[in-house]
Amino acid sequence: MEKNEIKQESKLVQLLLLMGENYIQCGAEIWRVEDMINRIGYAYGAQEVNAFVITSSIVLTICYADGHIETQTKRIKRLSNTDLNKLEQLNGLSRKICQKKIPLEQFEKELLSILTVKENRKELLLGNILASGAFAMFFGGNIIDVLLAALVGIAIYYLQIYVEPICMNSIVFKFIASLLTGAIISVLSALVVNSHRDVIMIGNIMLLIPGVMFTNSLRDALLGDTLSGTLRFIEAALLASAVVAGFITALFLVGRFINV
Amino acid sequence: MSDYIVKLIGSFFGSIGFGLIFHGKGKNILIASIGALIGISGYMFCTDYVHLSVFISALIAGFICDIYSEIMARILKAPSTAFFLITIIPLIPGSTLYYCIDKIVAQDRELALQYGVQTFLTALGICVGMSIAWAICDLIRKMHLKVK
Repeated sequence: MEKNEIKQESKLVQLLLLMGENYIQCGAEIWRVEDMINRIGYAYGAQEVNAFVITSSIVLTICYADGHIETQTKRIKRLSNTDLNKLEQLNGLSRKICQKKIPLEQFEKELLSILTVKENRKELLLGNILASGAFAMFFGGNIIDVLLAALVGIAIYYLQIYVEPICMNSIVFKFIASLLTGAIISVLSALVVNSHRDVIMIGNIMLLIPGVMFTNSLRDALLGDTLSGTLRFIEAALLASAVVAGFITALFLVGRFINV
Repeated sequence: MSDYIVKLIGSFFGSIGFGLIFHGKGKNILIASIGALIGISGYMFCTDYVHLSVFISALIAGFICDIYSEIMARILKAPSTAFFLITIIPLIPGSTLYYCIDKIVAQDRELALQYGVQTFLTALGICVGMSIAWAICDLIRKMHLKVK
C-alpha cells in the first residue's frame, strides 16, 4: 500500500517534468511553466512544491503530506519547437486538472495523447513561403522579389527538415543555413533582372533570426527570472551572431566571384 | 499612402505565415494577425507621424500588442503567449539587422554600429513595452482577486 503511494507520488513528479519540458519547448515563459507545475502539484495534494526551471533543465522537489519528499530533474535538450497548438492544449489540460482533480492514469493518458502528435510539416512549409514572401513585400520589394524570397523560403524549409537534425547544435545549423541562403540569394539576384538582393535577404532573414527567443529572454528577465532570461538572451545572441556571420561570409565570398 | 497599405498587407500575411510556422490554431492566427496590424500601425504612426525615437515607438507598439494579446487571451481562454508571439512579428527588426550586416561587409564601421544599436533598441523597446503591459495586467488581476 505504501509502496504504491510512493510510486504514485514519483509518477506525478515524472509527469510534471515531462509536461514542463514540453511547455517550455512550445514557447511558454519560465514563470508560466513554474506556475503550472505549482498548480497541478497542489491540486494533487502536495504540501510544498519547489520547481526550478531554466531553459536547459527543470529541477522539481515535491513534499507530500505523508512526509515523503520526491526530487527529480529533467534535462531539456532542444529548445525551439514553438508549437502554439500544443501550448494551448497543455494549458487546457492544466486548467482541467485544477478545476477537478482527475486520476493520475488519466492525466498520463491525456498528456501523452497531446504530446505524441506528429509535427505538421505542411504548415511549416506554407508558413515559410508566406512569411518570406510577405516580408519581402513589407520591405518594399516588387513582385519578382516576393517570388524569389518565397522560393528561398522553400529552400530554408528543406534545410530545416534535413540539415538541422544532423548538425551538432543549432548555432552550427544557423551558420550553415544563413551561409547557403545568402549565397543562393546573391546568385539568384545577380541572374534575375529587376530583383533586389537587399529586400530578398531581409525577407529570408526573418525566418532565421531567433526573434521569439530574443523577446522571450528579455521578457523572462524583466519579469523576475533573471537567470533564465540571461541564459536565453546569450543563446539568442549567439544564434543571431551565427546568422550574421553566415550572411557576411556568403556576401563576402560571392562578392569575390560575382560582381554585384 | 500606398506605401503603408503595402506594409500593412505584408505584415498581415507575414504574421499569418509565422502563425503557421508556430503551428497555431486557425482562429488564433487570424486574431493575432489583426493584432499585428494594430501593433505595426501604432509603430509606424509613432515613428513617421509623431517622430518619436525608435525605442519609444517600439515600446508603445509592444505595449499595445501585449494589451491586445491579454484581452484576447481572456476572451478566448487561451494563454496570451499564443497571441503575443504572432502579434509582435512585424515589429522584429529584420531590416536594420540586415543593413548592419551589409555595412559590416562594406567595412563602414560607423553605420554598422548605428544599425546594430537601432536593432537592439527596437528589440529592447518591444520587451520593455510588453513588460509594462504585463505588469499592469497582473496588478489589475491581483486587485480583482483581492476585491473578491
